[in-house]
Amino acid sequence: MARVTVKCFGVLRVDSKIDTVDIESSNIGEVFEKINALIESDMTVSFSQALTYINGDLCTSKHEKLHDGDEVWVISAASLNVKKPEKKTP
Amino acid sequence: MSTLKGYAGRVLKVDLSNETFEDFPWSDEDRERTIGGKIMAADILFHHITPDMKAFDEDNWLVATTGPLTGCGCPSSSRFNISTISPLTNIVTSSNCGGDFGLALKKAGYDAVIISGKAKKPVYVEITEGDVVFHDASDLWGLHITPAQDKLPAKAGKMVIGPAGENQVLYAAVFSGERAAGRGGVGAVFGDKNLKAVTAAGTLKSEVADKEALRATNKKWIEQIRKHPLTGKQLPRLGTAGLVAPMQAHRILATKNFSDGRFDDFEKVSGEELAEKYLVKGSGCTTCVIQCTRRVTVNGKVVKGPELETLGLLGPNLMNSNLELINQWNYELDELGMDTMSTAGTIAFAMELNEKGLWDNGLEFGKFDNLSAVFDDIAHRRGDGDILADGTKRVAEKFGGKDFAIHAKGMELAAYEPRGAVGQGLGYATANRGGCHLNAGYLVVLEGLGLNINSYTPKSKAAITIFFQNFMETISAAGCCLFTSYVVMPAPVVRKPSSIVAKVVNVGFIAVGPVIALMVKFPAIASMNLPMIMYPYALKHATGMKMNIAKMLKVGEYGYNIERQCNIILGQQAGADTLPKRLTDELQVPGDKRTKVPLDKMLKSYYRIRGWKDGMPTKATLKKLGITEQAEVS
Ligand code: SF4
Repeated sequence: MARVTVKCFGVLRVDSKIDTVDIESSNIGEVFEKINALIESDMTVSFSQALTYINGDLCTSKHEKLHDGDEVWVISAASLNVKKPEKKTP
Repeated sequence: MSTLKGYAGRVLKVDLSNETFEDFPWSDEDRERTIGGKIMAADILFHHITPDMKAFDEDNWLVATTGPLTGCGCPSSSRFNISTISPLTNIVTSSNCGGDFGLALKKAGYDAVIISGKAKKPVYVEITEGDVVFHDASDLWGLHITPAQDKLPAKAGKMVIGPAGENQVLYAAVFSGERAAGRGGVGAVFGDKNLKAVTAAGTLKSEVADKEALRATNKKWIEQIRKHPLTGKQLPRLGTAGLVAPMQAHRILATKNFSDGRFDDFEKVSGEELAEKYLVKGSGCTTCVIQCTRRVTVNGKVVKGPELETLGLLGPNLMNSNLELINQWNYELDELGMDTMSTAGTIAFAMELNEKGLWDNGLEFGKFDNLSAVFDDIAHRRGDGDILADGTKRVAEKFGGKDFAIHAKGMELAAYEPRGAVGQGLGYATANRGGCHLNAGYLVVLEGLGLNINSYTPKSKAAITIFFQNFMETISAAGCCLFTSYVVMPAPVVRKPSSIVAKVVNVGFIAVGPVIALMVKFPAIASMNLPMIMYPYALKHATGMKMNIAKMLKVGEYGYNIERQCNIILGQQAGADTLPKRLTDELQVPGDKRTKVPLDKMLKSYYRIRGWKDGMPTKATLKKLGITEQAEVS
């Protein structure tokens, strides 16, 4: 696990009200999971819906490893509006 | 009178020297050839200008034009254009504005107004249905933009200048409501002609060719715009300022007089920060369904906020991270009637001259306590303001620093640092009016701000640039805002920029460069219509003209070439399509060879595809386009 700073931009930031968060994460995929857990509204963001940068360099895989002190920018696409799937009742 | 619909059908010519007016001949053939807007204006100027004509000559004409879609209920189509010989660049400038003058002019019964001559004392011209009145404007002279407009008839559409125009600041703007025809110093030409304002009012309605079909097209078009992630979400939510973060990421956020493409404090001047801390509400030009404008509070008053170019050039490019100051400066510059972009670009250059010991002017990156006073000095041509009022190119001629004087053909660049988006660099260099992002073809939208094609490769950039230059030329001529063209970008790709599909599209775009080049050379290949490109449908239903993508490209090509020919008549030479050395010879990122604009390489293909030699249309190209009357090269 690495302690990283995540900065959100675009519609994601305005709608979720999350601008900067420090989280523990070993790879980029986990960053998205943690961001989604923090979003209070019924919106989610996935790796494919954003451009992601680690320390200013474009990240092309969600499996990319993170290290302590890394800064991650999540620049969301112009539109998210993806609702969390309804929980199926058994 | 026109048999084509959509048009008001008449062109007005006003002579300020003699206070007379008359109809200017403009036939349906002329309409078919030019559509309207900036192409119509360039065509009119082409037949009027002479090699020795200068911006401040009595003979220089101001040509304000609308498009056939203006006033036809089409989305974001209230735009009008002003073209003239620019005092900043000494070539033709065309400046587009979203204010209400265009709509009002059509209601008064005119598609365009040509203003010739020079008034002996300050005047304002009132255009109504069938009449033109020349009013004494002594009581308006000296007034800022808002108070001046407040004194004009409330219901009329207006064009007005502020002190900057009156004092012939070479980048003075014309305002219509809160919207500016900002670029190229059209306001200075007004000022030189002693023309404070023009108003238009009337009750006439343009007839359209097929009302029902146009209504259905507009409905579909509006839906399309509202559904698209860029025009339906990003622009309304964050305004153009929402592009600051992607620009930072792509290294295209002009910083410290274009010495870098990233700014450490970019977050503080981002669209997100603007939305969270300062936004009162979104707004926009009349008839616009996108509403990209921000409204913010300055000195307790709700006013138009800065858009991206202003924000970038008054922010990172001056090493300024104080958004509140940018809001205030934007308001002050608007009120003085000055182009925010050229003002900011000139000041950034002056700051660097001072830093390098070339001009001791008191301007420093990161020091901003004196800038409001500097703006006022520029607008009134006081002290060093008189020098700054002449723009970057002339300042460089006086103090040196040519290699980092950030302009193209004398016009300061927009806020995109082209070493991070080389196609945009080619566009800046070749744009007819100079360092303009829109006239450039706006490739930066494909190179990171909408799509993510390889922004460093020169491959295919010439063909793509020409395609968009021609296409956007016609969109503008129709009367539409260029932001409506974002809809053409495939929404799923914009929505999921890191998806496999997006990656394929981005790579594919470069790969199909040769096909695009073919389409540009032989537009007939594109003799079709596509459901996501609504302009041809709207133009057809509004005017009754036959219209498709091929015709749009053809008209755009004609427009680009006729404007170029105007520039050649006015003395533009081979080698004019260039950029300052900082952008073509210095690496933005040390050690990363991709990070400079490979201009020579791209220009070669650009000229070949356009059928130009050294930046000038060849005889064969002119013949193909039916442009034969003035300057030609063999
Ligand atoms: S998108 Fe913005 S600039 Fe274009 S017409 Fe609408 S408000 Fe005006």
